[in-house]
Amino acid sequence: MTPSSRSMVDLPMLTYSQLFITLRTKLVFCTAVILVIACLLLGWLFVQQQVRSTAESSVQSGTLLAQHLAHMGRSSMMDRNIPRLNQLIQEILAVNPVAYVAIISSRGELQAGFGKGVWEDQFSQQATGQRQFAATQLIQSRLLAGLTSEPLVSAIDLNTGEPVLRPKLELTPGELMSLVGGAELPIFYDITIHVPRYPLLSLWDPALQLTFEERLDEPQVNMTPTPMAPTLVQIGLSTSHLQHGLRRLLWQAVLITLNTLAGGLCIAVLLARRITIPLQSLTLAATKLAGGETVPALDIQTRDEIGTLTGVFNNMATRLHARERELRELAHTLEDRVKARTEELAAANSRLQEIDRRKSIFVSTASHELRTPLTSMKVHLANLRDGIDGAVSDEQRRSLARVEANLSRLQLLIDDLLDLSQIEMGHTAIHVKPVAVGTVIAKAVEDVYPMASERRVNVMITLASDLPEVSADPDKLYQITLNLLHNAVKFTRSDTPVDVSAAPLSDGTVQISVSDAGPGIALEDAEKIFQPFYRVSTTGKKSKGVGLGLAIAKLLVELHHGRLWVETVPGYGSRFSFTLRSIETRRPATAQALPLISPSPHTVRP
Amino acid sequence: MLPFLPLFILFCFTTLWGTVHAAEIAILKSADLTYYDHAIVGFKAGLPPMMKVNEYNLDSQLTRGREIGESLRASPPDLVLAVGLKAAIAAKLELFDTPVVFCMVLNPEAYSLPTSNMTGIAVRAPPVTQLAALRSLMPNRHRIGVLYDEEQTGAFVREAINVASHQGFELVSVAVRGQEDIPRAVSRLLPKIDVLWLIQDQVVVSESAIPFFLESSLNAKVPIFTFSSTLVQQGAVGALVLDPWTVGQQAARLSLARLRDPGTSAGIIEAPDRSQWALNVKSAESFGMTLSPELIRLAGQVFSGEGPRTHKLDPSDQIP
Repeated sequence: MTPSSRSMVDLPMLTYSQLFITLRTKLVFCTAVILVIACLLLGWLFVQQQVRSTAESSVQSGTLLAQHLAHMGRSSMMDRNIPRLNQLIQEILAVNPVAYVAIISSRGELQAGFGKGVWEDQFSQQATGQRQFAATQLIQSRLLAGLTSEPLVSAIDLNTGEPVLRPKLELTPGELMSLVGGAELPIFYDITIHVPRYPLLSLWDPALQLTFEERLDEPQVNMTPTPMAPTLVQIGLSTSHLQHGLRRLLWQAVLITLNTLAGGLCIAVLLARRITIPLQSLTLAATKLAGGETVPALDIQTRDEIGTLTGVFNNMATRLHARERELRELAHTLEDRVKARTEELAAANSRLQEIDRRKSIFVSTASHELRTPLTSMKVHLANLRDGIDGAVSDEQRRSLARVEANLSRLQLLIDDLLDLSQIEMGHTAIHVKPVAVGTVIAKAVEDVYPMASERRVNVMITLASDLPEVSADPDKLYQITLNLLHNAVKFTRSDTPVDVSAAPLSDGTVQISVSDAGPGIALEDAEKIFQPFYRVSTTGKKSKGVGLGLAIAKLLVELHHGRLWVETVPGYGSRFSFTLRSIETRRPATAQALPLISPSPHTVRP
Repeated sequence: MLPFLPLFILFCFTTLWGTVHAAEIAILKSADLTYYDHAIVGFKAGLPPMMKVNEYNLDSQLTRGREIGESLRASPPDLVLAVGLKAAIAAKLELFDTPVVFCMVLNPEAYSLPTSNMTGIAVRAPPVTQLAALRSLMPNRHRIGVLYDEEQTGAFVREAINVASHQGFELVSVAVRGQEDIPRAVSRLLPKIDVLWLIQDQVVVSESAIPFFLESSLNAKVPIFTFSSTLVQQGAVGALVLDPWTVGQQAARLSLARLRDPGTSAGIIEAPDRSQWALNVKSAESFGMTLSPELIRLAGQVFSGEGPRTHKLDPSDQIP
């Protein structure tokens, strides 16, 4: 077991240390409880049954003896032949469990009777000369309560020396316990029977019936015997022998119960082990599996639910391992593929960069090469217009002017292309120095004045009073401002103002904004207007330009480590803003940004 | 002459029946007791078919019997059959001219029965019959002991003493006054006799005394001859027992005779015509006696320790 898995297994034990009871403990405990209850119940029922059965057997023997005496001594009782009765009683007393024998006359008097042992003293002589038996007094009340010919069985306790009638025949649990402890209980069964009269009168004996029944003074009824108190034979049986048997039986029951309990517990423990050990193995294996370890297949030791569970677990573990292996292989493959694709992309990127570089070189070279003949053409055209090469009519002059204008436009385009290519190639050098923003803005405004006048657009300049100088290349700042201003004047509606403002920001930069009241820019175009040659569809073909101004302005701002953005509301106008570092913030930052910005004019590559 | 004999007999019967066929008989029954009913059934069986019989039940009440008797006196039937003591007493007290036949009365003399218009049938067989039966049962035993109460059976015993002396028996009689005298009397009597004759005496024979008689008899090896099949079943050797149906038949014959001639048998008691034998083979064996097969064949009830073996009743089997 790894430390991690061990800690997972031990976790419940530690967390619920007071409550955690193992399954084995529960099984053994439950089985033990069931066994104890079952054994006690069965044992108790068995003992009760045996007690009852033994008592009944004893009572039956006593009843037989009493009936024998009643039968044998019937005529002697009628004849009051006491010597004969005494002889019969002595014969009965010779039987071992018989404790006393008494014959009670129909008048309730003791006719004859003797006792053995402790019962000898219970026969006393009265002053009248009549003998009396103490136990008879106890039975009389019961006899009067129910006068039947059935034997009357009572239990008498002689614990105090005086006979006491017990409420029931069976021994109480406490008495049984004391019996187990070896005590001898002075309990006796008293069996009292009626001395039977001869069954008189068969149904067909009219002579005898007539003899018995014919009376003139009494109503003649059908043979109802005159109820009269019967003669009784009372026999007492000692329960000593019964108690010995019960004691032996109780001990046997206790031993059997203990043996059953011990055997049952052993079986329960074995059964619990048989259940819990495979479960523990499963738990351990599952913990290892959860920890990512490889788990060997568990042995299926039993062909039952736990065996099935083990089989299912083995299946699951095998599948999990296979999936893990597949994933690992897939991860390896994916890494290789990503690596290959990255290399492919890097190569493509290099190729594209090379193509872009070559394009920029081409554009730069082509622009550069186009500028020379274009300059020559403009010189010669100026000479023609100025009449240096001969007189020109007014018509020719106007044509020449148009050609010159177009050449100027072409030159501007070529200049823009050249600038863009130079910036993209990183060949643009910026010469940073403190620049007064207001001066640059005023110059740019002045340069767009003719165009603004032509379109009846007022350009308003708003400068903050605390506007600091910015650290920038003045020419590039002029070009940025001019491009933005040119666009604003070009796209704003006639007779609307274009605002140019500059203000310091709290972060130490200066924000320069150009606002117009033009048609604005759609949201989908706002991200793309800074790309080269991108023209917003709403501008139409009437607007001149190829879409390089904003791209150049953005690249130039970024060369100054600034940021250019646009805020626009379609239909209401746009505001282009950019930031530049003020001279105050740049100074302390100089030392920090020393590798990128030097005090002397330098070239910054993006 | 012989061919005319059946015709003559037929003539006599039809003539005799003719005199009584329109008679009306009232039956007074003392109580609803089985043996009374059997006697009445026997009586009715002995009457001609056309006889008119009205039956009255006293329900054990003498006053009711007297009321019935009074009404019968107002509208007297041709004859009254009184069954049982109370019916006989009621008839005696209320009917003075109407012929009365009574039966199933144990001691009629004790109640001054019969009167002049009454005729009775005794329950007990006469001493001569009983002693003759005893002799046929135990021919070798001559000393007969008998217990009696003077009031109940004094006359019967005196007659029996006379008969016994004529028949060669020695009858040892002991009178008792109550049941308490019986044990001592039996103890005194048994050593002197060969057989104990228990007669139908209400003082001597009681529920409590019977076991004592039986045990004493067994102990003293003295067999008992008696009148009850129950006693025979329990240990007596033999008895001549009463059969109510036969008594009823006898009463019918007597009634027909009185209807023909009201003076016939008036004021007398007839002995029962027939009695039935009851024998206990086992008891006889225990007393060293062997019962003759002919006697066993004649007996109505034979006990052999396994309950009564009852023979089919046949009047010819009964002792005349």
